[in-house]
Amino acid sequence: MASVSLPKQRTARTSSKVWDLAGNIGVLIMGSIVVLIVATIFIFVGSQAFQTFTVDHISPGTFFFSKDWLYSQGTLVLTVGSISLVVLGLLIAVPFSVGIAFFITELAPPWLGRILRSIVELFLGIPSIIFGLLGVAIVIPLIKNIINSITGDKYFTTGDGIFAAAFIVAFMVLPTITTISVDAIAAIPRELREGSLALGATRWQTILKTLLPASLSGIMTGVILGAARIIGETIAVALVIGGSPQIFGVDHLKSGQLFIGTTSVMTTQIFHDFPNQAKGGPILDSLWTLSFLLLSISALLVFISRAVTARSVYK
Amino acid sequence: MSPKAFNHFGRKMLGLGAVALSLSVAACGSSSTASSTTTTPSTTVPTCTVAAADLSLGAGGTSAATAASITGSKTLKIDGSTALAPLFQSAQAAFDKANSTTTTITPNGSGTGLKDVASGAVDIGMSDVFASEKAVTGLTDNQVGAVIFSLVVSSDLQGKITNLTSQQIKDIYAGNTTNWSKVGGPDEPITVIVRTAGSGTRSTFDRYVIGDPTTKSDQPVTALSADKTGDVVTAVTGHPGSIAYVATTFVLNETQKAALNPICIDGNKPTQADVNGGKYQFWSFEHAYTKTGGPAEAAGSAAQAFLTYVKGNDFQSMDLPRLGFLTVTSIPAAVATTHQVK
Repeated sequence: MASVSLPKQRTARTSSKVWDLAGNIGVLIMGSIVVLIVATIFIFVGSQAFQTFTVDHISPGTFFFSKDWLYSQGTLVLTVGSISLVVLGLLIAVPFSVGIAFFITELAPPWLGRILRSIVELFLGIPSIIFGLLGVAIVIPLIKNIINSITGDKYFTTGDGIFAAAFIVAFMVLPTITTISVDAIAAIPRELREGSLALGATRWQTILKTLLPASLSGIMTGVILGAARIIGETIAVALVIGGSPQIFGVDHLKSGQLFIGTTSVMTTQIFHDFPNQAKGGPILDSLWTLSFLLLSISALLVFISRAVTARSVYK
Repeated sequence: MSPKAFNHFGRKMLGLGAVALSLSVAACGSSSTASSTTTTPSTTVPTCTVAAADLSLGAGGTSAATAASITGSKTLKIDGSTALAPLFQSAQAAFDKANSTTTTITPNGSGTGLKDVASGAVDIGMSDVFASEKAVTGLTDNQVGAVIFSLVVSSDLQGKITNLTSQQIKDIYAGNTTNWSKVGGPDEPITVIVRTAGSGTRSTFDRYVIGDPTTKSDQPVTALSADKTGDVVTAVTGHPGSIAYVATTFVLNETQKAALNPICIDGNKPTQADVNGGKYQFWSFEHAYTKTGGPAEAAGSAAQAFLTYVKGNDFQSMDLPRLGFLTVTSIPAAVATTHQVK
């Protein structure tokens, strides 16, 4: 029996070695392809992006600080719009997400926490177009009715604008921030909680003074990833933001529509204008520059979130 | 006159206009006799109302294609104008059936159509605008029809705003007029909806309504922008007090009819009669571009067979009116030359 099985084992061993090697090479190739793709994206978008300044001779001053996108390719409205959307979106999303995270980990009975967590994770899979349609069908009419009844002017706002967009992106990033926060809070060692409670702190004091500071870097990771998602979100935002060339704050103040007026963001402008450019030219090049800017911001946010995670004490 | 008093007066004028209309169907054009019986304020415009029936170009029909001798590839790729797409999609079914060809039509905007046909990515590029307007060269123009565009207002303004003068439209699109009461309508803010820059419809609007293809006064700062004609329809439906421009082929569409209320410009209707009379300027030729000297222009190519069918008598006389397109031959030469862009 042994004399029969020995050669078999030997062949099995050599073939497994071959497979090992093939597997290693295969994985290596796949890994390099990923690196290559990422590098190609940056090089391709980047090479197009600088034509705005080198070929079209649009000065960086005009590009970044003029509000006239259509005729001189100024992007002030769009960059201010994107940043404002991130800030407003996070202002709505973060308190909710962190609140839900603490409820799931600290306050809710384990069975309820588990159910809540799976519901929140289910949220992650909802396609953004669904959020956009809900925005058009529910959020916009709701904002319109509420604000117009408060101001007593039935034509004060049409409902669409940056507030509607912020509300929708807040919902979209809520699961990201919540799940990452839940993990961060759950990673805090038991001793910290028990120590805090043993010192006579109430549950609320424990959460606020012990658990929140201890999980802050983890929560920040979620917030930064949320910011990256908001700044890159296209379709849901384009459906509700209105797409008008108004600078957030400055132009809205004139019409009394601060925080709720229509504006435009980088993704919306790229989405709207790209298909209409028949030929290369300042607008097309500027759209590439905007894309590169967007790409760089997203990459930067991912790097920051990595750095923050690396610094966190409890993982 | 105080604004309020003027407003009241304006409404009264409109009421008179409506009475005049119900009495006389031919109240369009310069025949504003009813309003001239009272002292006419300088802002009064000729009474004119567009009825849905006005836009119809007849029932038409669906033509059948006959087999052509195609020696080249049996696949045909077309993309471009969203306004022209319904017409070509109608041709596609009959053409593919007769010739066992595979035609794909992608409505993705005139700009993309011109770009793709110039690069050779597609055989035919559909466009609402002349290639020269987009500075694209090396293409052969096939004018396969014409489309009339119309200014439309939201349903809450139906019957209240039926006609605007060119000057009123310019003021609205420049952002100088921001309330409907200034142009004889209710006291309600105007929500302007524009197509995004580069849209064929927007170019046509700038050229023939604003009167300047390079105008910078075609988008008030508060204007909402819509990417495609379909988005415009959604925006008009969702925004009381809104005004927008769309191809009348969309106004004719049953499901969208209720939301879009076409209006007259300077007392002229977006109809075949007013286009042919040289009175209504907001229309454009529809182009099917092929690459000059490219494979799509070779004898026996699927693209040539398709264009022959589309330009043929049967398709032109049946499918075009059914879908709301004008035939090129129906437009008098004197009028047609005004819309040829060199």
